[in-house]
Amino acid sequence: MVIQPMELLEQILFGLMIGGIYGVIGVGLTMIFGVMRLSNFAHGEFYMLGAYFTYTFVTLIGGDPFILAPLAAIAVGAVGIAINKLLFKSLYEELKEAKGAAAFYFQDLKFIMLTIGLSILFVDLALVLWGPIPISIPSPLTKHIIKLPGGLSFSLARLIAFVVAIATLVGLYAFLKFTKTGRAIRATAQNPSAAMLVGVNIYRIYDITMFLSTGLAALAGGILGPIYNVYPTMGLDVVAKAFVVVITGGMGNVIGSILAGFLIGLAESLGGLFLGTEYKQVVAFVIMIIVLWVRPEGILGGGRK
Amino acid sequence: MALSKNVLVIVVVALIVIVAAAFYLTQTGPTAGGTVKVGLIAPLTGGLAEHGLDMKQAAILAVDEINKQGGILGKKVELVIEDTECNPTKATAAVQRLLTQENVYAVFGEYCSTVTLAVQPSIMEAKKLLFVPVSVATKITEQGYKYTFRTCANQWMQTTQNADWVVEHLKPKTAAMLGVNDDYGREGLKIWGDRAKSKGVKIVAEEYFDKGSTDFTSQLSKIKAANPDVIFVVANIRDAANILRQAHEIGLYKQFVMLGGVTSDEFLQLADDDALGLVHVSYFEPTSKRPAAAEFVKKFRERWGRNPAMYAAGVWDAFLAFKLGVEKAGTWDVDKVADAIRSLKFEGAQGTIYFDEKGQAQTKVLLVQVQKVGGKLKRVILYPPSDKQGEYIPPEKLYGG
Repeated sequence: MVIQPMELLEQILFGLMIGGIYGVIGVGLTMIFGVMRLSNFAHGEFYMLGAYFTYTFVTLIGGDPFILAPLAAIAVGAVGIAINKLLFKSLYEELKEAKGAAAFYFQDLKFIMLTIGLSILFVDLALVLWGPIPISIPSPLTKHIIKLPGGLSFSLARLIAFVVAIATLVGLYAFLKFTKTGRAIRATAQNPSAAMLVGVNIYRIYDITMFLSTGLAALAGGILGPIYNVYPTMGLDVVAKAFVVVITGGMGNVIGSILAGFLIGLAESLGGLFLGTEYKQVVAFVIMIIVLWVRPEGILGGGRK
Repeated sequence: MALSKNVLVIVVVALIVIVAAAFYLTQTGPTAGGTVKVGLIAPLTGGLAEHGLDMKQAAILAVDEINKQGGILGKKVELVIEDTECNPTKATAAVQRLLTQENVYAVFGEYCSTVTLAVQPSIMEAKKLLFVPVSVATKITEQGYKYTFRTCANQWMQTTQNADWVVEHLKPKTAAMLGVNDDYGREGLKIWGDRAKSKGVKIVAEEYFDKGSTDFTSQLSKIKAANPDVIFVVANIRDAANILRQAHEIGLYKQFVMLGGVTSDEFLQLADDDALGLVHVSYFEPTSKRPAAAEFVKKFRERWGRNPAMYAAGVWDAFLAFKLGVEKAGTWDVDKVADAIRSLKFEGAQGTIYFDEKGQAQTKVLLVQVQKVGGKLKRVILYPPSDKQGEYIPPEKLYGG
């Protein structure tokens, strides 16, 4: 098999672009795990809701999905807060009463079961509200093809999605690193009781974490909706990959997830090129298994913000 | 203590009698009553729900039509619908419920071949009729089951007819293949590849993607580098739309050829202009002028307000075969009905339908090309000559150099 240099370049380019998206989906999942210790199996459904909300806004208000996607992300983030306030809080209080003091109650099996239930609920809700037939969100940007010399080409939409992904990741990193709220989030992630002692309102932190995590997933859905298609089970299709990214990057490690996103995206592309495309999916999981074997804490170690 | 023990014994005995009686009643079937139950199994939720909807709507319509005409041999037909999510475990449970609790006379379904193959033995063992309107795995009708009937062309029939047409009319020197990485995709690529190779076409790339993939750029990039004359793809409508869009995105404008899975208006909406020029198999076209097809389309449109997709036609024809078979046999005796169905020849939505010894309907598939007619995307029938609506247009003409 002879691999042409342009083919290799094309694979690297698309691998990195997909990697950026994996990063955004993974980073929300890793955040919720890092701060709350919650394994959110409904994460993919927030991605799906983001795509459907964007579609609904496009049909109701009109305009380009890439402009409306952030709006959809905020709306889904609000759903995230509502879930935290209405569903999670009472269960959290109950566990707290039984065990005392502030700790990582979201690790409890009840919460995991709750997120699995939410996942099923949201998929069925989407089926009822928007129907089973896949939808494409029209955007002129997907038709605008950027042509590079040597036969390389991709749509403007893909480039924008990549830029938005990178900007979001940088913004999130800066927010966690340099703002007061970011510091409070990191403190809560390290030790909720200690954070409480120094005056952090950890319920508010959990609200913010839910908002950011679900909003990030929704943003990814909103910007990918026009590039791919929108359908009720689209979240289930990405959630396994999101967990691979999170585990590879280190559970709860934001930077690790971003890097792991690129690593997996690139490895899938190159794996498909060299080994054959039927092994694309396998490559991602093999990387995860190797990381778990050699460095179980993830490529950058877990839990560090 | 002694009393309560006696009571317990009586209760247990009573329960056993009731259960045995219930079992006996369900086993003998509702031969005396005014209705006969039939079951439909289809993916109504999950990733294939869009296709399940077609099957469900066609089944409801067919049963209503049968009942409007006075039922079958004086009996009203009652439809029991079960969701399978295209999951063999769920489907097995659903079929058990249909067989033991609902005591259905016949089962219609499924969409996924893996599911049909999983539930087929228990239906055959229970001596119930199985009508397969959608699943195409060749094996389903190759196992020698007496009570299995398939009303659509199987994978082998549609894939070889597709390959034959491509080789004869497009005269490609090289071809690439891309398919979903499961039994359906793998079987499709093997049959098409073998057929094309036997006619002197060189296969320059064979790529696969996993179920649930949304990005196909890495497969398409490899195909682009191999520079084939035609690209044969096995995919459902969602994947097919993404594949065509992404192919055009990376500048791959060769002739794409697909199987019957993409025959629906939803696919044209989803893929939009990227579908232009695509050649694919179709079992059924709502534009068909044949009276049996036109009647079905009219009724379906009146009831559901949209055009039926191909799967709907398969289900409709399955119910026709069921009704005509029982009427021809003049009895509900399942062996006589099975024999009667084998000797049927009738005009269905998909054309003239008759079955071979194995219960496989002998239907001719259509080959269509997506073209723009009056500014709108339409499937134009290229083959067979009897149904032909237009001429093939090569991609160079549609998209420029």
